[in-house]
Amino acid sequence: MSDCIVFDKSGVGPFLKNRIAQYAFEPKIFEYGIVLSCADGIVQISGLPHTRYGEILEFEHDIYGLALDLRQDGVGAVLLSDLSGLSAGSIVRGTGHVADIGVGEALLGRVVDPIGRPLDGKALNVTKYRQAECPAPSIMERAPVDTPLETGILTIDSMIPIGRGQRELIIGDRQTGKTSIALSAMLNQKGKNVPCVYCAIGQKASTIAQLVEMLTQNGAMEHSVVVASTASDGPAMQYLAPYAACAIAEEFMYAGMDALVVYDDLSKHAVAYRAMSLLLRRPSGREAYPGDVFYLHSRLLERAARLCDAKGGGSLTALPIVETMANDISAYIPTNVISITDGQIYLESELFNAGVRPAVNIGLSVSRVGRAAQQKAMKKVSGSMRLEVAQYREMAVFAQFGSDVDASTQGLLARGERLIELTKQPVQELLSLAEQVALLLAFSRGAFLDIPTRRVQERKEEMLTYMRRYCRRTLAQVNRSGDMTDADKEDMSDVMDNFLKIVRDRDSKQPKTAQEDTEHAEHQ
Amino acid sequence: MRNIIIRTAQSFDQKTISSIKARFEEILNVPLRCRVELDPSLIGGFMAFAGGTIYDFSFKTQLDTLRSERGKDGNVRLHRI
Repeated sequence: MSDCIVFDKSGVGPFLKNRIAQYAFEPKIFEYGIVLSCADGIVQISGLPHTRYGEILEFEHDIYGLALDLRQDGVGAVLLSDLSGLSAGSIVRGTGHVADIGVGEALLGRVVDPIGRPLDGKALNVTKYRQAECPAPSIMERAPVDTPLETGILTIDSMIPIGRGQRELIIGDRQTGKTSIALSAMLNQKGKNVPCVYCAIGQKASTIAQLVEMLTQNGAMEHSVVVASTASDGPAMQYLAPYAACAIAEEFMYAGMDALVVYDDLSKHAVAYRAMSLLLRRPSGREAYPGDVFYLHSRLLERAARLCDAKGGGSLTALPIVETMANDISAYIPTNVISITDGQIYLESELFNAGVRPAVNIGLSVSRVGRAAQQKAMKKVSGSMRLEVAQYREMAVFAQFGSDVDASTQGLLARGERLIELTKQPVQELLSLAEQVALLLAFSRGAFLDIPTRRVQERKEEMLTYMRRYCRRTLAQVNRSGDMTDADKEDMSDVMDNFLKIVRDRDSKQPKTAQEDTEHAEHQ
Repeated sequence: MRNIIIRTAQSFDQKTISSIKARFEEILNVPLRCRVELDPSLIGGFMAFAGGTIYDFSFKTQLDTLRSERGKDGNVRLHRI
């Protein structure tokens, strides 16, 4: 590390003279302890009777640790960096700072570690610090959640809407698209004055680098902060990471803004906490997790809230991610976090492998804030969607056998299949409120029922392009007001009808293949 | 009777050491057994270890404090890169 002096007009000379004139010799008087033993990242220290819980301790050679075990005759600390250079008998002192992190606008666009050191190679200038552990807003400081946080994903915004100030869990097996949903939500906050904080807990450094690259390419890094504790960081860093990320996001919340924080993922967080607790010889409980593993997550997630106007009216939305094993949502950590959050988005690997991406299982997903956090326009078009999808799922088994089903069930299957196809969406393709409303309106008017399922995406793209061109003003109006007036609806319907006429004419003029002919006949 | 360790940057003469020891005996109100160590990395001054507390009068710490001060100064900032 090197130091550099930044000049301003007045120059170095007067600065140094001023500094020397102001200088007063102040001896440092502080308590110290002696390292008794260090093993497995845990250091046992003798002395330091006035250490506070969670205080950062400074060892020799610039090594830092967290005091997590306070006893009458000493302290047990977990190291925040590598063990190398630490020897028994060396001196330890308290810094007086309980774990804190630099916060504020200076962090936007940056990648930092859980104690605030920049990881992207540039200097970081913060003016304010905030403690990583901080009490959640009290009951009277909160206001109900009534404003939507748009993720840009059709499935979620229509059927599992998320509000600002809500905690919505994203849960599923590995490689089911959990991080992708969270990232889509972050990308969609561009230009909406919603700062986002992404907390990577125990992930590969290469994955985090890819993520930062993706955010940068999509212009989302300007309103985002990444707090990274990689897999090679010790358990203490991984333990601290989500609290640090929450502190950064809280700062925006108390400044009156709506912030978003993503914890990816809390399963690894619980594992790191377990490792640390076992090494500190704390009693273990179910699955060897310490007794307070529920409290570990509940105190973190309670800090996400919607504040009342007296406190600035800001909010913090949390999207924790939990990884399940073999789709088991009744395991220990998943059930803990499900009971803490205000709903979950359940991703299934079966759906993912079948090509339904985002692989959301609508039946098991819920948003406990629900319709209160939906724009009026969306409420008008998405009323019966959940029911339709649920009914489709029930009947879908019959469709597999191609068995004889009656006409109404056939209709249900046809609609359901096309609705699911409509909800398939690539990660970086985000839909605004108006576009989603337009799609659902089109679906309810039968725009997708006359084509085979595999052509739904094509028609969806074409329709969106057409509407973005010929219906721009109405779409902008719906986006702005959040509502779809009768006039808007009529306008969009007219444009849709025009579009459908064009494509249907075009299709009828093209020679059909034999397969298309039979499919078309079946679905009449 | 307690122990005090005085770690000096350069070797101090006996008179200075005795006066330091006497002053600490006054502050801590207990007779002290003194041990002197040499540590040139302190650049100047001394550090005293007594009763679980460090009394740091070394120049090195003063310079480190100046360097790491969290942007308290007005015009020019010293950045850690």
